[in-house]
Parts: sequence; C-alpha cells; structure tokens
Amino acid sequence: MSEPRNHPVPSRSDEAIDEFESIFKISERTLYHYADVSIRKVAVITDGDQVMATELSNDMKRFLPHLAEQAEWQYVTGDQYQNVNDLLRIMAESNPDLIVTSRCLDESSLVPQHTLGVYVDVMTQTLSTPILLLPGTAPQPHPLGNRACEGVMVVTDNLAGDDQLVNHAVACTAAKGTVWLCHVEDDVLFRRYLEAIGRIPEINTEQAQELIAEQLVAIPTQYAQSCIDGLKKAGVDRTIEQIVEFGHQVNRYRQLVARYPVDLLVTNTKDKDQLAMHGIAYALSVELTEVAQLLL
Amino acid sequence: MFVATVAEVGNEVPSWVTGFYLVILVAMVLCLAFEDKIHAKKSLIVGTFAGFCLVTETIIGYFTDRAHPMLPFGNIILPNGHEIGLPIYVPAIDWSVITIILGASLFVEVTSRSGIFTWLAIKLTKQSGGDPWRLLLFYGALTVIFSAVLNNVTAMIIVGSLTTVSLSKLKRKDLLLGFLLTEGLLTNIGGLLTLISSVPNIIVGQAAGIGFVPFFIKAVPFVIVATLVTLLQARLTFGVKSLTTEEEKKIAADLVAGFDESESVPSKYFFWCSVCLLLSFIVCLAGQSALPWDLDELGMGFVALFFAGLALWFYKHDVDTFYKAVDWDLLGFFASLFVVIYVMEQAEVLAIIGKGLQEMLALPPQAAQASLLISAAAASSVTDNIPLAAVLAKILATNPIVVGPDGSNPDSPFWWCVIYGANLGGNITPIGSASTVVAMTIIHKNKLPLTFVGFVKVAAAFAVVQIFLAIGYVWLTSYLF
Repeated sequence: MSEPRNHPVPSRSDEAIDEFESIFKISERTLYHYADVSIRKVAVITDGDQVMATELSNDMKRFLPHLAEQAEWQYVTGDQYQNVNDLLRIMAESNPDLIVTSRCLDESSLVPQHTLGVYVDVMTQTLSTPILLLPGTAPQPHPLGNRACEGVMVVTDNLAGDDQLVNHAVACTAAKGTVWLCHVEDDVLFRRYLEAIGRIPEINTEQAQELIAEQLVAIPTQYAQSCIDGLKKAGVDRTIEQIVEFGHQVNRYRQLVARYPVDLLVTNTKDKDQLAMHGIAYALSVELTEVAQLLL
Repeated sequence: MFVATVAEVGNEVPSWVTGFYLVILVAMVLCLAFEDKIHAKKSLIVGTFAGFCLVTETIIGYFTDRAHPMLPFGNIILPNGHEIGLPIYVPAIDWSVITIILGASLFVEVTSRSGIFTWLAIKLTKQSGGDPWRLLLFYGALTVIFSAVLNNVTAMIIVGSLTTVSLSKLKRKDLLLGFLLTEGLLTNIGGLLTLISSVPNIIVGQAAGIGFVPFFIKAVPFVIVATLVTLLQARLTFGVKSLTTEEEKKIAADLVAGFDESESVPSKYFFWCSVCLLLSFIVCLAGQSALPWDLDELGMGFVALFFAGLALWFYKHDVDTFYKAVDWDLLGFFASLFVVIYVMEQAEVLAIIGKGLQEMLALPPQAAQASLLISAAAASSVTDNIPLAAVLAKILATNPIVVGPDGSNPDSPFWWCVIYGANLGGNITPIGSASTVVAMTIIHKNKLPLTFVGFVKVAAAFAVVQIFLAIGYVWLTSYLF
C-alpha cells in the first residue's frame, strides 16, 4: 500500500541534524582582521600631457595626504599609449599598487555617457591592482576639491568577510574621518524568492520571510560590529558606522551618497565567475560619477 | 535436536506451540533487521507481531487446554490485597523501563532548548584552537559524555552536526569521514557509562537490580580506557595529526575564535536553571535508592518523569510541542516488545533459549563470559540490541548460574557481558545501533563515500579491540569483586 504523499517526509534524525547544524551555523561569526594596506607606488594615468598629470597627482596628494608622503608617483600620459594593450603593458612593467585615472579615458570625441570607457573597463578585469576613478569623466572632469578624503563609503551586496574592502576604505580615510560600511540586500530578488516560497506548502511563508530577512541582516551586521571592534583594537582612529538594509541597490546607494558627506566610494569589481565587472559595481561606477570611486 | 529439546522442556505447553512461537520470534527479529527494506517503523512491526501473538496464543490456549490457558487472564492482585482488572497486555509491559525512557527523553528535549549542550560543544571547539588532534580528543570526550547524559542518538546528532560545521570552517573536510566514524563508535562506548545511558543498560540493569551508582562505578574505568584506545586508533587509522607550524596554529585559532557560544543560549536564566535541573536530575538518579520516606519505592522512572514535569514548566504554554517531539515509535516499540516477550515466556520459548544458553554458561567462567559477550555482540551487530537485551535479561534472571541460590545477584559478570556485548556489537555494522545509523546519515548528507561494507571494514577493527577490552575488563572485575 503506497502512502499518500508527494514528497519524502524527512525523518526525525534528518530534521534534528539540520536543526543542530543551523544552531552551530548561527553561532559562526566571520571575524574581521585588520591589515595595513601598503601603497608604495601610485600610477596616475591621463589622456593629457605631463602638466595635466602633475595637476592630477597634486590633487590626489591633497585628497590622500598619507600617500603623498609614502608612495612613489608615476605618470602615464596620453602620448605613451595608443591602445589598451599598450596601457596594460606599461602597467605590467611598472606594477603599481594603485592606479589613479578617469572614466572614458581617451574617448573625448565620442561624448561618452553611462560607460567606464574601454580602457578602465579592461583594466578593472585584467589587472588585480585597485583603480581609483576620479569624479566625472576624462572629457568632463569634476574637481576633486582641496580637502582630504574624510568620508569613505564601502558599498557592497556582501559585506561579511570582505576584509580587503574594509582595509582599503580605512587606508583611504583621513585620521578622524568616517567610514560607512553599507550593505544593501536586493529587495527585488528577495521578493522573487519569497514568491517561490509562497508556492511551497511545506514552508510557512510569513515565518520564512521573517527568518530569512533576519539572517540576511544579521550576517553583515555582525561582521560590521567585528570591524568596529577590530579597528578599535588595532588603534585605528576612524569612526565606523554601519548601514545594513533592504532596497533597490543603486537607488539606495544614490540616496546614501546624497545623505552623507561621502568623498570616496569603495567597491569590489571582480566576479570570480565571469570576466565582466560585478553587476552592482558597474552600475554604481557609471551612475554615481560625481564621487571618486576605488574599484578593487 | 530442536524437537527433542522442546519435548524435554514443554511439560504443559505442547512442543509444537513452543516451536511455532520460536519461529515467530525469529521472524520478528529478521523483520527488525530488514526494517529499511520493509519501509515500516519498528513500533508497527513489533506491534503487529505482539497483536498476532496475543490473538493466536489466546486461541491456541482455548483449544488445547481451556482449563489452563497459556495466557493467565484474570484480575491482578496488588500487594495490599486489592484486585484490579487490567487487560493482559498491560502488566506484560515493564513500565519502569518505559517511564525512564519517556521521562528522560522529555527532560532532555526541554533542557537541550536552553543551549546547554551546544554551548558546551562550541566552548570546547574554541578551546581546541582548531588543532585537528585536540578537536578529535575534545569531540570524542564530548560524544561519550553526551551519550551518557542524553542518549547516543542525540549525542551523535549534536557532535556530528558541530563536526560538519567546524571542519568545514577549518577547511579540513578531508578529516570529516574519520571524525564522524569515530564519534559514531564512541556513542556506543558512552552509552555504557550510566544505567540510563542506553536502553539495554536500563533493561538489564532493572532485571539484575543494579543500582545507578554501582553501575557507574563499574563502568567508568572501562569507558575511559576504551575511549582513549579508540581515539588513538582513530588517530592512526585516519591520519589525524596536530598542527605543527605557528602560522597554521594561528589561522586555525582565528577561525574557531569566530564561533560565539552565547548565540546558542536563548535565555541566561533558562540556561542556568537547566544546568541546575540537570545536575539535580543526575544526583537524584544516583541517590534514588537512598531516598527517604519510601520515596525510593517510586522508582527511577518516577524521578525521570518528575524532572521532565519540572522542566516543562519553562514552556508551560507549549508543552504539546515537546509531547510531539517524544519518540513515540520507540516507546511503542518497547511496549510491544515487552508484550511479545511475555507471550514467548508463556509459550516456553524463553525456556528453550535459556536451555541453549545454559550450555554456554556452564563452560569454565572465563570462557562462558567471553562466549556470552561475543555472542551478544555478534547478534546486536545485525539486529536491534533491545530485543536481544530484553530476551537475555529475562532468561538470565531465572538462571541459577547467574542469579545464584538467592535468586538475585546484581554483581554477576554475566549481566555485564550482555551489557557490553549489546552495546559494543552496534559498532560492527552501520545498522548495529541507532547512533551509527545517524552517523551514516550525516556521512551521506555530506556526500562522503562510505558503503555498508566500507563501514564494516573500518569499524570492525575498532569493535574487535573494544570487545576484547571488554572481555578482559569483565574477567578483571569478576576476579576483583
């Protein structure tokens, strides 16, 4: 006689194993480990001449004063490269720790919009070196201002465990400055999963929504707290604030940048599964052009 | 030979009736051994046999000797002379065993919600510093303690789940199979520590009249030695080594430092209350026989139910959740099993088995003890050790070599042969005990390659060492005491 059911019912021990695994996983914390980011060599790339490059580097030295003291500065001007391969070869030879450049490099005749330009696009994916994008574009640059970088916002959809992101943000922030650790969960994606859960009779939809949302917020919040504790322990003199919430990622970040005095956005660009730039990073780097961005 | 033996024993019960029920008993044991193939729960399998046995024995009794039916129907006379009417299958059940299991499982279910066991498990994980060998030592000790205090299935679930999570965090999943197997084997050693740590202990202990404290005192040395030997054997078999470089140690320590034990504790008040309740429970069980004002007469089962009741007050609005969590299949299985054994006793089946066992017990003491322990281990490796323990306990309780002229000898080494054999036999095959079945479930959940034969190849070496240790220990204790 067959039993009237569609799905195999998990046994008591299966359920208990899963329950205890969950209890132990909740107890797991991803701890932050502070490390001093060493930037000894900075390459400033422009599509202009030496004068322009020097001006840019002076702006940068005001913006990141501690780099001015420590780092060796290299200038790559428009006459040194004709195409992307040339630029990649120069970077491979000089092997800088940080590249400073602009969006839409060498594309002034195209009146570019909503793009990083081919040079930056390729460099973000083929080089492991962090790239600092100056505000505006190469044809229409925005002034960097005369002050040091005091407000840095880390923007990500997966904050937990990303020590590199936090350490770079801290390294770029002036003493007594503020670092906002922002994690925005995509609410559109969350709603899609909930719709699927709503079609599964074995799962209580309301409970699932509450519990999943709670965990999605708890993981980055705990990590952010670990960052605060870790930086305090390391004696780093920065104010750390956390913003963890649900929302439409690009819109929320646009609102957050407008709300806080942000001088620099720090974001990850590498997606290990694809050559193209990480989705949220690309969207932010072409939409929030008025703020400098550090792409890791 | 079988018919001749039946003829000798069966004075009042016809020999064909005894033979018939012996076949039924063998069929039931085979059905339990092939439980997974039948796709039916133990309680249903044994319940069906219990019903069948009751009906057929009643009918056979009616037609063979109506004046003296095999099942003694009639009122029960209480010690104070009162008579009460109870269905025959009610007094057939050993309610002291059932109440101990019901009370203890309810108590554990509630107190484990306090996070007390997970807290301890995480604390030890952090103490290990992520060193694989220290982790194996700590998890081994934890498995033994949890098996003793909780039960071997819950112990395996808790420690096995933590092992999966912590080795995954340490990126040492290559050690997972060895850890899980070792923990599975240690649950059956931990199950030997106290009188209520495993069902065979409860059944044999009740039949023999062994108290909680004497049981514990006698079991402790063996459990410690067997645990250490098993862990050392695991280290050699599975290549579990300590970390050597300072860098490795720092990375591992940082990783396990990420566990936060307080996360598993929902309420500090409930946590500490549970700690107090657990300690009181153990103390009361240990001192049960010394309770004043005749309270000892209420038995261990009452102690277990009493503490379960106390613990349930913490969840007074949700007690039904815990009632649902009780393993009713297990309790139904025990109750039905006692009924089957009762029927077998009336049909003289136990007398037949006892007769066969008599030859073994009549051997020189050391040989008799070794033979009984090995036989019990071999039998429990392929079938459920609970019917085995129940049948052997019933038979040994009437055997003069075991109980002596007084009819009661809790110090007889033969009780311990059954206890050790029934528990350790579960380590030979993956179906030998419920906790090794759970270990296999976790192993397969983690997609680790281990077949039935693969398990036997690895585990049998451990089981053989443990069984020889047990034989030596029984010999030693029978010589000393």
